[in-house]
Amino acid sequence: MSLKSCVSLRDIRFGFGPQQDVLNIAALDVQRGERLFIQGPSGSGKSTLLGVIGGVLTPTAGTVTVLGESLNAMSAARRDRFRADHIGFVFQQFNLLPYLNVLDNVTLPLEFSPLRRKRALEGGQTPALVAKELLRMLDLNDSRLLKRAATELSVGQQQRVAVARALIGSPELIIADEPTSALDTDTRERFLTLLFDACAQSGITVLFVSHDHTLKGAFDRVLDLNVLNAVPA
Amino acid sequence: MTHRTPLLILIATCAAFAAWAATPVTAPVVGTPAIGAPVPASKVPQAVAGKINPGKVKEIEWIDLLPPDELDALMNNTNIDHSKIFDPKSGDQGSFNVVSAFDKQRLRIPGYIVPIDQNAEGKLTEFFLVPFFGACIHVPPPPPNQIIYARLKTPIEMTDIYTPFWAEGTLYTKRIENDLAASAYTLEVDKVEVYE
Amino acid sequence: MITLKLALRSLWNRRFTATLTILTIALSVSLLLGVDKIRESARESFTQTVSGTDLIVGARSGPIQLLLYAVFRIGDATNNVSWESYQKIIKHRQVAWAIPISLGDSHRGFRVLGTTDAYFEHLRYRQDRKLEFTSGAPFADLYDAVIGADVARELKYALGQKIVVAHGAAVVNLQQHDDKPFTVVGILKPTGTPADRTVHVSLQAIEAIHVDWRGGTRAPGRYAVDAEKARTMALEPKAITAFYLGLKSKIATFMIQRGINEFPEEPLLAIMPAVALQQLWNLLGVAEKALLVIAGFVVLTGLLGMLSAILTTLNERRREMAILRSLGARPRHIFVLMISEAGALASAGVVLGVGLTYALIALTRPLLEARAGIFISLDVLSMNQWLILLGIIASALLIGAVPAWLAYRRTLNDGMTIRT
Repeated sequence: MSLKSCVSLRDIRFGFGPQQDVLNIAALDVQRGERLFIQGPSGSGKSTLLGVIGGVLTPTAGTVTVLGESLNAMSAARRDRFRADHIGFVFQQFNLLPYLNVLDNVTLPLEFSPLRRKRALEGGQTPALVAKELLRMLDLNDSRLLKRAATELSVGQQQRVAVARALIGSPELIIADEPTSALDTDTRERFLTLLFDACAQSGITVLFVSHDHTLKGAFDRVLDLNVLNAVPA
Repeated sequence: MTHRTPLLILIATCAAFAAWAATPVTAPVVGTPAIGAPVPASKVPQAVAGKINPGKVKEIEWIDLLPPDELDALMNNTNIDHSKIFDPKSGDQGSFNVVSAFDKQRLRIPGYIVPIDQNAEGKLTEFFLVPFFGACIHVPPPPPNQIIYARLKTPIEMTDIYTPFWAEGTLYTKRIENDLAASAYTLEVDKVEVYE
Repeated sequence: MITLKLALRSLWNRRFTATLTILTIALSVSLLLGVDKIRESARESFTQTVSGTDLIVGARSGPIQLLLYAVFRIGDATNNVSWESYQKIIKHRQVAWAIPISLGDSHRGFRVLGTTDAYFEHLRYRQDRKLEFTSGAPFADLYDAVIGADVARELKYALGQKIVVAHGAAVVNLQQHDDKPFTVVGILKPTGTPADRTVHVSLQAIEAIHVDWRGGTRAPGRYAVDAEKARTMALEPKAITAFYLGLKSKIATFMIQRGINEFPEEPLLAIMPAVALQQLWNLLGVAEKALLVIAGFVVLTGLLGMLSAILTTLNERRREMAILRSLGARPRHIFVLMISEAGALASAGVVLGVGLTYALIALTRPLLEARAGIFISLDVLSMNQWLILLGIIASALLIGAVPAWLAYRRTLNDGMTIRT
């Protein structure tokens, strides 16, 4: 396992019985800093795969190694902590907690991960300042935005706030599950650019899962989940 | 654990609550001695006596409180007629004579509690201890030297008049009020326990 | 604590429903607390009203009835005690003091009590407190009156006030004794007993105002006897309503009681106040318990309403749970989050409920005093009541565990994604 490996899966199986496997993946490797596009429609097992990588789901068989650490060896509590410390998630929509404002949504990961909190506040900054800076990087320049309720924002704005939340405290890996599917075409490209720029600054690995193959050109590598996953579709 | 577990806990709590609420208001104890019959300490079952009295404090019976010559008189006397006590010429009904050997003695005696006074929280502070049930209601009362005036050092929860109790403390036979016409038995009570 | 902060923010977001739930709980808590406070206060009011009195004697009726009219001025006597019987009884060498009382008249809704000086000297309440005067002194002249603290306050009377007594116990009476007005010569300090709401006059005065009454009404014209003429007449009472006895030796209580119960000249009843009170309380005890149970069920209803409110939102919050899981929240956090909401709602409800209780007590105090003789204190909560409140919060947490458990299980199954 090289130091440059971010995610490494071997002989992963997930299912409720031999005939009911959802996942059957012989091998998957993602390098640090890589931008990987995994193409897969719904039902191809992508949610399960992301759950396994994120440590929320335990595979029936096989090993999952993230950043050199084996998730199999961890207890559920440690896996939750690991996820909090090292992985940021962006979902298709409804990423934000509706009862918190933008600021609280963005800084939420800092409550669950002391590690990210330390990283974020290095240099004597306050959470609010860090959040503001991240949002600025994502083209959300209005400082009045911070105190607005999450639900008052447009979908495009919400998705970018979700990215800011995923980025805060510099986790090593960002997993994005169809983050652009709710956006219109023009906004999609802009979103992708902002995401990559922000991640490039800190060498953050991006694992991007989507059925929309028009985006794959911007990525370092493209994998087809139907090919990767040996389970009959 | 399934979805049912928290529901079971909830139902158990409700059942416990209902059971508490349904506990009856204090009622006559089953096996109450017949009206008129004194509670004899000697009849206390051995096992129970062992449980409630480690043997340190002396137990006495009501008969012990009578001066020796009065026992015969009490046994032979038919029911005293109280209806004439307000006639100017009538004498005292019943004897106030005490057995002074009991003065300042620590002892236990079983009897029925007739409340006299309570404090603001409803706790009993003073009571009469009498040998039999009904002494304050409709049955001829015991003679004065078969009644103990008791004061509690620590007030206790109100008791009911139907249940017999052990009263333990220091008995005094001197007068406690200046213009008392006669002596009386007074008990400074340390402890009251249900008579089982 | 992040889960608590999230719980509070989440509730604030649903503040309309949350407020309704809190209100429901608050009302039910206030009902339960109110019932318990009244129960405690009633017990205290009644048990602390008379102390140091060995026997109370009246015409033969029932012990509770005698207690109620002779001590609490609730209800009426069925018959009187003749003056001869009274005189004969108090001559017994064991009698240390006696307070005769005569009831039947009233003044603007307050009962008038005919008695003697012995009332002010020997009556005790709250174990050993004596009656004291804010101003003035006991009656000296025939038409003197001593009023209780509430009478003075509500009718705004001061010393020297002239008052007229009416026949009967209602607020408005047909027949007034307006030919023989009284003068207020004494005002008592507040006692928290029925004495506060009583107008005290001498026994002779009661005789005087009735001296020209025949057939239940005042004699007219030349048969009338005016106030000054009444002074000259023999005013020894013929009967009294009841009397209190204090004995020289407490032990003699049983013997004297027996003697009075068997009094050959007249059917009388002598009661030991504490014993009669206990009989009264046994009677009321059942009602007490029933009220508490009902109030308890109302609280349960309130909490179940809370359960319902939380459960209905559970489905929409699955997404929220998934987000939290993706951020690293453990399933345990989800459980604690949900239960904290229940705890927060219940606590707010309890606090509001306590406030409501005190507000309601402050409002209804005068009414309860006047109608039922119950003096409710605005004291702090008793130990028993604190336990009740703790029990309510504990029950809320228990009930809140139901949706918390459901959320916990779902979150385990859902992971980070919702299959809707």
